[in-house]
Amino acid sequence: MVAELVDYIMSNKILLGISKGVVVGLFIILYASLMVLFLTWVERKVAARIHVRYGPNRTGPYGLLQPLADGAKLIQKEDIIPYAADRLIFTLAPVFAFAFAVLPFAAMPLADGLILADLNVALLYIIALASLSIIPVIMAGWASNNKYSLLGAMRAAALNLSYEIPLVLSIMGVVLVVGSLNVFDIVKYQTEYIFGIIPKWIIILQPLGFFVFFVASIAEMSRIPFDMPESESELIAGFHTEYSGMKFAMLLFAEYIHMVFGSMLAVLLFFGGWHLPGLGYVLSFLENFLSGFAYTVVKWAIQFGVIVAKALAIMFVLMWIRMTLPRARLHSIPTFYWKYLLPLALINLGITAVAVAVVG
Amino acid sequence: MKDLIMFLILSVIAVVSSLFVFLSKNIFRGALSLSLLLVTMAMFFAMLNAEFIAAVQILVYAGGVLVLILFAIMLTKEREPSVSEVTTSRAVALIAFVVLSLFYLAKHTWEKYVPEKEFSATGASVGTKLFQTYVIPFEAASFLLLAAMIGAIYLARRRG
Amino acid sequence: MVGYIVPEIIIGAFASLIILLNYTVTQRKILGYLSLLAVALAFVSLFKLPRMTAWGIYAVDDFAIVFKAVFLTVAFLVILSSLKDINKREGEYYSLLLMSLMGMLLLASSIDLLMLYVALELATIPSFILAGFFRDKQTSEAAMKYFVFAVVSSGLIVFGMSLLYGLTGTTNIYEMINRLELNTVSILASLFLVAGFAFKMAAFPFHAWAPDVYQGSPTPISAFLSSASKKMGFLAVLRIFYIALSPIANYWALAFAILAALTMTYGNIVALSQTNIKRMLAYSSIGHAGYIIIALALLNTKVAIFAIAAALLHILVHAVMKAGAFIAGIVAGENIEDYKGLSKKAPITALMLTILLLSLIGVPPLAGFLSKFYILLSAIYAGGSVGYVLAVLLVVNSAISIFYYGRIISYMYWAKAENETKINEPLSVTLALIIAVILVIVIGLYPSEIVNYLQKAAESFVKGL
Repeated sequence: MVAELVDYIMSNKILLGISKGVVVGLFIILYASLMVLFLTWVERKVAARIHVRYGPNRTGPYGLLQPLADGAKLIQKEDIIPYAADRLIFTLAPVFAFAFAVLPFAAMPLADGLILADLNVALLYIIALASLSIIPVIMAGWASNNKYSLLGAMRAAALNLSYEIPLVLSIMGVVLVVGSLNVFDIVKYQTEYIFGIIPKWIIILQPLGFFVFFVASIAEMSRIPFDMPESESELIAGFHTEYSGMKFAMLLFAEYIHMVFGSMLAVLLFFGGWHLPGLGYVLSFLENFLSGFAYTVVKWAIQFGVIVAKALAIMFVLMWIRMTLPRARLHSIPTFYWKYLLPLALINLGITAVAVAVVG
Repeated sequence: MKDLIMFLILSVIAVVSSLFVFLSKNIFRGALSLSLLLVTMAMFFAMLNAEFIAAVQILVYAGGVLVLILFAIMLTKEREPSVSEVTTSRAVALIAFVVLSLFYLAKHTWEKYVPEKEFSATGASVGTKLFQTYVIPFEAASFLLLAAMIGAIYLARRRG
Repeated sequence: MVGYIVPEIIIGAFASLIILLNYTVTQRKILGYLSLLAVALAFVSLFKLPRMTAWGIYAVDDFAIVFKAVFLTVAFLVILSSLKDINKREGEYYSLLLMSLMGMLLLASSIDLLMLYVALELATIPSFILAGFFRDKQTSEAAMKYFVFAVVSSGLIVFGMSLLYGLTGTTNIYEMINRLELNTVSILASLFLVAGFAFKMAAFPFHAWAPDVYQGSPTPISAFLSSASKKMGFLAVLRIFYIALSPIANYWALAFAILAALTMTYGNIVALSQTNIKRMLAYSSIGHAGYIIIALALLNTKVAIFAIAAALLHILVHAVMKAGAFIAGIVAGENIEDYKGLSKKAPITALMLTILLLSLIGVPPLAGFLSKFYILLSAIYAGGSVGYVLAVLLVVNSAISIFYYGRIISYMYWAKAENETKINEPLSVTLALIIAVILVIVIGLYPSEIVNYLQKAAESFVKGL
């Protein structure tokens, strides 16, 4: 019965497309949500370790169920909309925040051949949708009709105008090296080796580009040292001061999804995506035992696991930075991005262009 | 047929949101509605197989220009500036007029010039066009931006 | 390989150089001289330009050369007259002026709607800042008005262009001829373009910005706006309408005929009552725009080539005359009272201004007579009710214009000033005036050569390269 259904779906192109879209789309949302739940726990554990504390350890083994407890608490909370708020925009902001955070994943390959929408300008699409994520923040800050929220939103806008250009320019370096805007092509390019041993991950070719990308994407995730929109010691909680209950949860989700998104993008662009030296042998070994659909699923699972593992490593560095560095001053941020990071990105782009032209 | 339905839905969204931009009394909502319009325009480009332009449209306009507009609005003092009242009947009449003229234009132009299906505006094809055929306007546009920047800095700079 | 674009490259390079030097050079005079040099070099390079079409969007034909020469001449006069109060103008002034000029030069050669629009914007946007350059209340208001009207007209133009593109699937104006059909949408598109360019030309119902902006802007910039910026409208109309929209010529030609009649009558009648010289010149400029639009209204007749040549001649002559007249205002002042006894206070300026005003009236053998005469001739040759009505209106309006131009001349020579202390006549301004007067006299004395060349230019542009 199930097999017949699968066969029927496989034979019909449109149905296949739709069902693939539904499955992968659901998977992306599920993945993002689970990842966020997990990350809140990780972040608290890492913070605790750095502070020499224990962190959550009462709910479940190692406190692993803490995120669920938090979620249950947030659902119970009263949903408050301030009297002077712009009700419509106030309500829409968290929805848009969540939607814009999840949308870029649609063009992001999760494994070799596993993607929701294979666009030939995928990278541009990803950046474009990621750049929209600022609008819900501004909406939330403005609609709250609270001076702290408004200040948070203004800072978010100022930050956005600063990091966007270096971020895109640093990605341009990668695009120049590979010669394609398609993320599959970018990862495929990184599966080769230099001198037969060193994996040709783009971070080796573009260290400066990665630096610029990383610094700019910290701002994109609005994490310390660039967490201007929130800066809890100055602005209470910045743009989401007035939010509570599930609306707050959605804004929080969106923030963590940005973090997942940023580190996955870094993995795909600079750290070889699903490529790992030696993984190819494992896969061809597995191919002997499994066949067809089963092999594809296992391959995807392994490759996806590689990406997630690498992304988690990057996220660990991000948490480490958060626990170590103080928040940058507001005035210094535009100066830093426009006067130092932007020229660096341009230099990187210039060097890359010359190198590509010379090497071929 | 599928394209036509898409086109009609998108154009209704585009027209309504662009009317809302100047009919809205709340300037912030007007700006947000402008962003909806810009995203809809991007979808039009995507429908015409110009994915590159669509992505750039979102990146530059919705992600860049609109943030500047919102930023400027947040710097203003009045939350609800007094904009002249627009009555519902006038708004409806305006919307009806625009939608009807849109249908009229679509009727005349739609059949003749459907986009070329094979052509896909990838980064490479856009780049080739931009740096070969249209290199003069491209450079002229860069001078245009330079002039605008010099002018803005000059006007904003302190006297003396 | 890039020989066809040398003047633009020279202007662009100097514009960039000047903005760089602005922050290092202490002597601002140098920047002014540099921009003069740039314009002169570009003018010289015009003589060596190859006649060719590049990429199908950029054509160097005789028609383009004529307009480039007009723009460069006006820019030269404007920069020369700006050298007077050098310390009030920062480097941005010359840089923006050159960038605007670069846009105009590009526009002269555009045969593609995309190129044409970008060039139009490049020419327009720097002039907003130039119009408000002193950043005081008066010039800022002028800049604001100019900005609003220019943006609205650009919007109309783009809308018309996009309809044309939707109808024909091409942006090249020569390819458009064969694909354009007569239907409601194409007429609508041409109406949008007529309205949009009428703003740029300051034709009657769309003229409201011109007097305020010319009055408020710094005087050399008023000269630049009325003599160069405004001519872009005519240039673009000739290119787009005569070539691309020729299949529906009967419709827009009628629109231009009505515009011409209204514009010249309105401009000349309102100019009668002005007491501010810049305002008066602005209205007279509107009147002269009406004369040029007469030629546009004749584009669907058998004398089209002759009409284009006449329009080119009047554009050239009017640009020089009007620039000179505005520049004289730098010395003499804005108010009509300032002109009483000017022949005693500033004899050279008064003499030069008299010659220019006589030319604006259309006194033979000056150039102004010649160009008006050719427009009259083309209207009469064209015949038909439209041609004769326009010809009569042209004569009547020229007669009206004698009153307000003549009033200034009589004030300068026969009215008594309250104090007759000499006004300082700066060398640079006088030089600019002398150049303008020489051009007016020379064109008037050697009409046949110039008209022959203009006719050749008109033919070159009709055929395409």
